[in-house]
Amino acid sequence: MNINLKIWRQSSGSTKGILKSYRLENIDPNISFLEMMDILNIKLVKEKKDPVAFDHDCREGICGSCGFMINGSPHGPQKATTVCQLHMRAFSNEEDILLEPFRAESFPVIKDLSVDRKAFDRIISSGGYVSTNTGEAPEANSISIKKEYADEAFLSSACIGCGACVAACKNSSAMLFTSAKVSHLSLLPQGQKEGKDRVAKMVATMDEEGFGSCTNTGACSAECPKEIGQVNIARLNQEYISSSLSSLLKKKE
Amino acid sequence: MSILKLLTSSVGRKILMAITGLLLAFFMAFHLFGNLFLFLGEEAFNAYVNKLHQLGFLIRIAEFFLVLFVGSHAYSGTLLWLKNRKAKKVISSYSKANTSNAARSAAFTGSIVFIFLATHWSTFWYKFNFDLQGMSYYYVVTESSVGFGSPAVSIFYIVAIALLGYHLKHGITSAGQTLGIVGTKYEKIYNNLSAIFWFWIPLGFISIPIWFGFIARVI
Amino acid sequence: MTEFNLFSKAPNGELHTKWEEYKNNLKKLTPEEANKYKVIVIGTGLAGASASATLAEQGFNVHAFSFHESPRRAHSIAAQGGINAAKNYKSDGDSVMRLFYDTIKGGDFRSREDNVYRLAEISKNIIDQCVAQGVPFAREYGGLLDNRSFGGVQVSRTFYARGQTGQQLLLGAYSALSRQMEKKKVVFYSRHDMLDIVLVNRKAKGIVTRNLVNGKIETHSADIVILATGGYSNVYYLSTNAMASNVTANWRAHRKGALFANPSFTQIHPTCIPVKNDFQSKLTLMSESLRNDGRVWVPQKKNDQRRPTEIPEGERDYYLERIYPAFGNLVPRDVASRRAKEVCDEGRGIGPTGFAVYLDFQKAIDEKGEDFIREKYGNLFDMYQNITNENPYETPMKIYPAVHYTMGGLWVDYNLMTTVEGLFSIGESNFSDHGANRLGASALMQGLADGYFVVPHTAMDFLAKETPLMKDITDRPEFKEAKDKTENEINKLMMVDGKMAVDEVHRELGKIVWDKIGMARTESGLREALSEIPKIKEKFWNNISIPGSDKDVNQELEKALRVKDFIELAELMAFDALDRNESCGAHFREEYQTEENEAERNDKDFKYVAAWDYSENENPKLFREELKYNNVKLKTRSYK
Repeated sequence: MNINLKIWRQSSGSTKGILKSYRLENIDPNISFLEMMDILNIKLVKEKKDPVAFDHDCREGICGSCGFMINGSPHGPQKATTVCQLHMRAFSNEEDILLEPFRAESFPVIKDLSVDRKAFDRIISSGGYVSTNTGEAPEANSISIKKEYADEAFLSSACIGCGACVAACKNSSAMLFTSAKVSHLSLLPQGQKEGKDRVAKMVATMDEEGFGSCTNTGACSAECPKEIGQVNIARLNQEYISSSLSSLLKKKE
Repeated sequence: MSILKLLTSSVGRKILMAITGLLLAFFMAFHLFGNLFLFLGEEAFNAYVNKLHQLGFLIRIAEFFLVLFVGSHAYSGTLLWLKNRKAKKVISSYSKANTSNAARSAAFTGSIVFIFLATHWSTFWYKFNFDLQGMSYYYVVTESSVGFGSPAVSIFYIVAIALLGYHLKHGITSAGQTLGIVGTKYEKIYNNLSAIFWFWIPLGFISIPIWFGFIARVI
Repeated sequence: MTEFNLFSKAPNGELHTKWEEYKNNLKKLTPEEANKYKVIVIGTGLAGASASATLAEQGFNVHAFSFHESPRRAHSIAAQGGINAAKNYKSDGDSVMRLFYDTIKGGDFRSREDNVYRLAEISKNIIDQCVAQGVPFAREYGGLLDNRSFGGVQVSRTFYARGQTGQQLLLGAYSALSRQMEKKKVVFYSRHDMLDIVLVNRKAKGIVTRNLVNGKIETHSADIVILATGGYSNVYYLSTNAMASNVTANWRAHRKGALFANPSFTQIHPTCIPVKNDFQSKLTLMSESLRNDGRVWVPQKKNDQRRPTEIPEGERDYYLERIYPAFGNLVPRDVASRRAKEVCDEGRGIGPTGFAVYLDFQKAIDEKGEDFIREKYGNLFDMYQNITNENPYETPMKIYPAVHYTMGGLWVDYNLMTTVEGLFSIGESNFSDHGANRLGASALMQGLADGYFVVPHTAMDFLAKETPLMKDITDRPEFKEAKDKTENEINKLMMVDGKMAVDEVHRELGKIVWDKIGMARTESGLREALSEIPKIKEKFWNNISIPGSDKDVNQELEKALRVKDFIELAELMAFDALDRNESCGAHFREEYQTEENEAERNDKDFKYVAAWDYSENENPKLFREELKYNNVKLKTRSYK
C-alpha cells in the first residue's frame, strides 16, 4: 500500500513547528505503524535528513512510551490499542495520515512527536503510593481482599501513563490518569488509610502542573489504550468529597 | 489541607458547580409547577403569583440564593473554562470521537442560558415586581410585548429552553459523575430520574410559548 | 594486566541460616550517618527502583539515572507471567529448599549455591512487601492470594496479576521510588544515558552521562555506583527486549575492569510470535503461562500446507508430550525452544516461513470452557489477535523461540559487587542466580530480591567502611579524562558520514549472533562469528550515517552508541561459547549432546563461571570461579 504522511516537525521545544509531507510506497499492510516509521526514518537517514523523533520502547503496548495524534486521535483509529500495537492494515491505500504530538501545555514538545510527560511523575510523587518502608511489611496473606475489589484495583492500576487521556481531552485534563491511581489505592485496604490526604495532594499537584479540569466529556476513556473507565473519576470525586467533608469537620472540632 | 483550598481546586469547583447546578434544576421544577397554572386560566395564575408575593421577605431570600447559585455556577464555569483553554495548547487538537456534543458544548450552551436568564429577569421578573402598570400577570405572560405576545420572544424562549435542556442533559449526568454517584448502586436510579430534568421539565416550559404564543392565537 | 582471584565471599556456615547471620553481622549506618553518603543508581527498572527506594529509606542520598522519561517505562514492565515465591500457600509441598533446588537444577548446575538459596529465602519477603505497597495480585474468591504453576516446575508458587505482573510490580517499586523523590532523598535524572564509569583510586566514584534532550555530556560523582541496567538480548537485534535495552553501561564498566561472566548464556524463550518479514523491529513474547493450557504440536508430515484445524489428531505430533511424558508442555524454556528448532529444521515447521509451531488451546477450551480461558489469558489472546490478525480461540497460535533474557552479566560476589570496588550490579545486569538457564517467573524475583533485600544491606556495609566524600569531586582529573574520552568518541561517530542507517548494521550483527551464537552452537560456527564480527565492526565505523547534531535530541546517535558496544559484546559471547566445550542449559553445543539429543554437561571440566577480562587489542582473558555444590547433588537434568 501507499500512504501520504503529514508529520509535525519541530526541532526543539523552543522553536516553532511545521507540518511536512512524506510519501511512502509499497508498504506491507501487516507491519506495525512504528515499523512504518522505522522505514521512513531509515529512508531519511540515507538521504542525510533528520529522522522523525518519537518515543517508543517496548513495542508491546505496556511501557507507555509511545503515543502521538494520528488523524486527530491519540494512538490512532483502533480502539484500546497503543500506536506500537497498531498495524498498517488499519489504514487504506493512498490514505492521508496526519501525525502530531500530544497537545497540552503540561506536555511540552521535546522534538517532533516526542513530548515531556514528567508532570505525570510529579502527580504520582505527590501521593500515589502507600507509605511503607522495605522490610516493614506484614505477612502477605494476613490481608484478605475480596476478589472483586482486587480485580477492580487491577483494572485501575493497568494505566500505562501514556498521556492519551490528556491529549484526547479538550481541556487537557489529567483526571483519568490521576483518578486511576487514586482509585487503585482506595479500593485496597493497604491504601485506604492515607486516602483522604492522597486525593487532596494529587489533585492539587494536577492543578499546579497546569492540566485543565474535567468536564466529563468521556473522551479520555474512549481513547484510553487500556480502557480505564470513567468510574475511576467518580471514585476520585467521592474520595475528594469525603476528604473535603472530613477537613471541614476537623476545623469545627 | 484547608477546606478553602479543597473547594477552589479544579475538582472542588466542579463539586460546587454540580451542587449549584442540581439545586437550580430543582428550582426549575418548582418554577414549572407555577407556570403550569397558566393553563388553568387567568384567575388561577394571578392568584398563584399573588400567593407568592404574600410570602414577601421569604421570597427575597430565595431569590438571593437563586442569584447566588446562578452566579457561582457561572463564575466557577468561567474560571474552569479559562483554565482549560490555557491547558490545551492547540485548541483544535482533541478527540471528538465517542463523546457527546452536549458535553463538549456545555460551556457554550451555558453561556446562552446565562444571556437568556439576564433577559428573563429584566423582562418578566422586573415587570412582575416593579412595572405591572395595572396589567394582570397572566396578561404580561401571554399577551404583552415582553411576553409571548411577541413571536420573537416566544422563539427566543423556546430556543433558550431547548438549549437549557441540552445543557442539563450533560449537566445532570456530569453532576452524577462529579458527586461520585456513578459506580454506586444509586447510579441507575439517578440516570433514570435525570431525564425528568433535562427532557420533561424543559418540555413543560416550552409548551407554554407554543400554546400561548402560537396555537392559542390561531384557534 | 590485572590478575583476578575470583572468590564469591559467601560466608561459611549452614546454608539455611547463613544469609541471616551474615546480614546481622554486616555493618550498619543510622539514617543520620547514611545521609553523608551519595549513591548513584543506573537504571530504574525493578532492581534499580527498588534499590533506590530502599537505600533512600535507609537515609542515603540517591541519584538515580535512566534513559527513559520515567522509571515506569523500564522494560521490567513487560514481564507477563508472574513472580515465584516459596510461600507454599497451596500446601503442595513447596519450600525454600525446593525453590532453591528447582532454580539450581533449572540453571543446569552453573549457578552459585549460596546466592540461589538466598534468593529462594527472600522470595517470601518480596510478596509481603509488594502486597503492602498495594500491588493488586490475583486473588481467590476467599480473598487470599492466588498462585499458578509456571514454566518447568510442578508446584504452584507463581504470584501474578493477569498477564501484567511485571507492570504491577514495577509500578509498586516506582511508587516507593516516587515517595522518596517527594522526600528529596532520590533525585531522578530522566533521559540520561550512562556512557562511562569513573574510577578514582581504582574505586567506582562516578559516571559520565549524556543528556538525551540537549546532548550535554555531564559527570556525576558519588560514594558508590550501582548498575541496574538489565540484559543485553538486543545484541541479537530481534529480541523480546524493548528497543532501547542495551549493554552500554555494563560494557563501559567491563572496559574499566569489571569482569563479564558467562556472556554466552542467553535465554531463548519458546513462546514468541514468529518473525513475519524483514521489517520486523522486535519480537513479542506470549507468556509462558500459556503452556499450562496450550499444547505444542507440528504436523507429522513435512511441508504440510493444510490449515491446522484440517489436520486430524492422528496426523499431529505433540512432540513435547511425546518426548517428555512427565513434564509435557511444561519443560524448561531451553528444552522447549531447542525442540521447536529441531522440528522446524526437519521441515515440519508451519506458517509461511516454516519457522513456527502450533500452540493449541482446543483441548483446554473443550474441557474448561472458553470463558475460563478468556479469564486466564484474555489479554494475551487479544494481543495475539491484534498482531497476527488471527483468532486464537478458533485456530491455534503460531509460536517460535526468540531471545528473551540474558543469564550472563557482570561478575559479582555474594555482596553483588563487581570486580571493581564500589561498583555493584543487580538484577538482570549481573550473572549471579540463574546459571545457564533461568526458570520462568524468576527474573522479577531476582530483580526485587537484589534491589529490596540484598544490595541495601551489602552496600551499606561497604559504605560504612568508606569515608564519605561529602562533596562533588567531578573536578578531579579522572572525571575530565573520562568526559573528554566520551566526547571524542561521539565526535568520531558523528564524523563517520557513511550510507547506512545504524539499524541496518545492527540487523546484520543480529543475524550473525542469532545464527552462530543462538539456540545451537558449533565450534565452526563460532569461529565464523569471530571472523565476521570484526567486519561488522569495520562496517559500523566506516559506513554509518548519523544526521543532525549531537547537541540535540538525536535518536540515531543514541542507537549508534549502543550498537558499537553490542558489536564488542558479540565477540566476547563467541569467545565464551567457544571456550565452553559442553552443553548446559541454554548453551547448546551441537558437538556435546546425548544420543537422545539432550544437552551433555561436563562437570569435570566446566563446573565454573567463566568471567572475562577486557583487553583493548588482545583476545579477552578468562578467569574461572569454580562452583562448589555442598547441598545438592549434581544430576543430569531430566524432564522425562
